[in-house]
Amino acid sequence: MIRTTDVVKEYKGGVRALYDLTIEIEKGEFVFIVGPSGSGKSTFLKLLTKEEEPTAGKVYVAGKNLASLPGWRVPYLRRNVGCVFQDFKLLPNKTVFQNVAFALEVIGRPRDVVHRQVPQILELVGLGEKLDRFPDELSGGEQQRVSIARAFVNRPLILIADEPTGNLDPATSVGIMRLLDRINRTGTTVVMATHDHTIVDSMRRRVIELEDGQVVRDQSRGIYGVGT
Amino acid sequence: MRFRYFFSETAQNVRRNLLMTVAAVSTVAISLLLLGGVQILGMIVKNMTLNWQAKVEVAVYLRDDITHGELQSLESQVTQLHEVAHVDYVSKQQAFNEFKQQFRTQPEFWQSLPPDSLPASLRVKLTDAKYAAGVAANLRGAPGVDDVRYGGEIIKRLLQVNSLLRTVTLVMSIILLVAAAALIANTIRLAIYARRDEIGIMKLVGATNWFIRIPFMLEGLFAALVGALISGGIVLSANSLLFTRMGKALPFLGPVFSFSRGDILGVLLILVSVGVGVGLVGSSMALRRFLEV
Repeated sequence: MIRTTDVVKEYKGGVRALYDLTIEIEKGEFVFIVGPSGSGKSTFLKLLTKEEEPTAGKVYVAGKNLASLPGWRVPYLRRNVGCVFQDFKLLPNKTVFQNVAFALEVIGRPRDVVHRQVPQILELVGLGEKLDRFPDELSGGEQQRVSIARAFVNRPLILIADEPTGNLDPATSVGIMRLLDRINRTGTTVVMATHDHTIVDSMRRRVIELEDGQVVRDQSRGIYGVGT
Repeated sequence: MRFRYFFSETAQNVRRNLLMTVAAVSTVAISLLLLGGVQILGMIVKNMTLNWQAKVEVAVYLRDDITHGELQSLESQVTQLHEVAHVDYVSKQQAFNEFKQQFRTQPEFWQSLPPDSLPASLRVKLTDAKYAAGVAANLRGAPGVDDVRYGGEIIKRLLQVNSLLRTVTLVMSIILLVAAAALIANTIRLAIYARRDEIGIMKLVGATNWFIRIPFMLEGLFAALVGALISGGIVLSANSLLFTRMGKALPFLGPVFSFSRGDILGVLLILVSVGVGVGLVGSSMALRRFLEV
């Protein structure tokens, strides 16, 4: 589902974010990417949506070599890769329903599809009663659920989560992780960058640890790390 | 559903920065009005020259001692010139009669003149007024020819003034059109800035580039089109309120200020298409520079 081979990413000024990164992630896996800040986690995730392009090496997503994917095809790639962020990125002037519907409308889904799928997905994330609320009327955990609903409403093959629990208290985080786990059980590949020990240790899923842009550990059913 | 989305987005953009849109619209209108002025000026001068050209002829005054043979060869020589449309022989008697007619209210001018005191002449009508000088030079000094006269100088001046006036106005309108495009670009830049969060999410969830661009393109087109319609409206009302009345009030100016429906329609078409062009240029400038998709 995701494969990178010998990927190097250098930013302008010679800052090296990733070095010789070779990672393979199978369909339906749940993978934690861990490591300290600046270890290259976010850069790795950005490669998967072609938000960043590698300086060297290849990135394959859903069987496609992203280097040879023309610019106009990138939106279609992104429809297959849902994204969730630490800061939710919800539109404050739209309701919960409208925020999720927006993601379908702008990829040209017909109105009846939008009106059928949005309530369904919001029911799934546990916000079936709060369709008409605005983001600032919700708790952080609820806002993250909306953002997950938006990322998943189009049933992407891959769900990328960059520190999704970074702004949430531990109890709320557990709820979010349950939701991501549920989504993973539908067959969706989930790749989550985090430095939340408790979550990684309790989930016991595959853990890829990055340090200075290199893989220093790749462990199935792993924990956050020894001595950290 | 898509169209509804595009139009409601565009309407929202326009409402959000109304002042900027008004500035863009009025600059488009003013610059196009200048452009329309250039066109109308051109039409006026065209009418004037047509009017004058119809009257331009080369008068070839003949010597009193011209022989019949000389006259015949001169006439055939003139007729053969391809710049010449038509030749009329005016005898001394005809010339005198015309003179009498012209000054019929002042008989003292001609009463004392003998009827043969005016020279006979050939009146040469040309296919185009611009040949007047050449034809005149050609005939000057031919056997039996006394003098050659033509009224081309005025037309030459008129054409010169016209081309100067047109160039100046055209340059001004082009400068203003560039300013209009820049204003449209800036209006769209503000709209893009106001919607950067939405745009970010649209990219994130995989909206196509054109889907993101179209509402902004439409906004630029809308501003330009409204500007074009305003200038077109002013041109139309100037035509029906000003020029038509002026032509009626001052009959000798009538032919100068009367434009065919086709001419006016042509001007409107130019205004609208240039306006749309400016809108497209302005929008694409803004989209290229400020909307990286």
